[in-house]
Amino acid sequence: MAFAWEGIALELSDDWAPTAITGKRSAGYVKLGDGSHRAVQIRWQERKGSVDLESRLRAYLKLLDRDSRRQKVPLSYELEASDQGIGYRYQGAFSGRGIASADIDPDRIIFAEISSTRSERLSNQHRKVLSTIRPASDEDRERWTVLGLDLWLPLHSEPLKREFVSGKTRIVWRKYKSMIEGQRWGLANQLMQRHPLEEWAASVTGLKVISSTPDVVHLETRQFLGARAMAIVKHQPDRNQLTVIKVNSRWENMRPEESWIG
Amino acid sequence: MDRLKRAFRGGKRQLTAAEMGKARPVRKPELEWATEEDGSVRIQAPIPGPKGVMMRYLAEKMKSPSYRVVELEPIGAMVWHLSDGQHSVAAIAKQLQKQFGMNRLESEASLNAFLQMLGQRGLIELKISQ
Repeated sequence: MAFAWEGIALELSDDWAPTAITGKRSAGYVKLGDGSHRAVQIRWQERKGSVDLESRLRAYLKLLDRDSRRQKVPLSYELEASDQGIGYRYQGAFSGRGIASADIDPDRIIFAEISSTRSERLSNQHRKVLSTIRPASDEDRERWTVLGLDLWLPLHSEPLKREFVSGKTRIVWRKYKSMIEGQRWGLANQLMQRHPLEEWAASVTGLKVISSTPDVVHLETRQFLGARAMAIVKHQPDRNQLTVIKVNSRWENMRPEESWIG
Repeated sequence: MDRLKRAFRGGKRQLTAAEMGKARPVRKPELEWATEEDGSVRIQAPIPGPKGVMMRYLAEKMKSPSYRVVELEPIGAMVWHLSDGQHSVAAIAKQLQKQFGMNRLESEASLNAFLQMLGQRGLIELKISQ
């Protein structure tokens, strides 16, 4: 399973899911859990001027030490040079291994770590998970992947709302004056047995069907003063899901394309 | 165990995620049920009789049914079939993920809500190994 948020992507096994997402592109935090005690945490902050990564890392470890001492367990830690920055490992009330990097993304400092209970060895998980962290963008698009919703959206799309409920993931982004809405619906194959795709797509988006193939429906409705609402609904039977992209915009270059769906 | 069962059926204490994952749902043995051709399941659940002589008399006069029928669509039916006391909630959730392409959170949340509904209607019990 891939996870991509605010320009940072990583690969995880299917058991992992986000448990906390806060902040924005300039500074933010994501925590993912696998249903056990393990957690992957990623913090990022825009870099301004030169960065003393080691002193920032030591400040962070000092905070962990303070929290650990509250549970009457002093924290011990080690730093080590890594390809992408400074690697670290600690053991206190919890154990963790991570990396502090100014190289993964040239514009931001990223701290990524995997942590668990004090007794768990994390070297395998550390290699498996943290080595996959990479930027989630190419020249003009950025990947957003969460709970099965997998989209490549125009750069600088800013998430405004998100709704993660069982069977449905919905995120709304703003790009300048355009609004982009992405939805992922589970149990699509079962849903499609009851409702034809075109009918379902028109009902979910509230737009008129302009063309369709067995798995993809394009929809559009002109709105007030030249604005348009455009949508693509794609049935992905191999993943048993439906992906919906809906854009409200005046600009033709914001027309959603099938290639936006990962 | 009684305390945990109470929690499952709407008591004050909630089961933790770990307790819920290890619990094994089991169908009430006294229920009659059948699998339909389309994969759905029809369960005949007895309705407890009314209390009091007058209420019993009225119920008899009005021919109120002694059972209700609960119909489960194919996904619910799959969970029903796996609720045999042998499969844990975590194992059933894994099965849902595998068979229906659900992610972990999705399968766990849907399954917990579904089992809670079945528990509240008195159709299943949870076996919890300590």
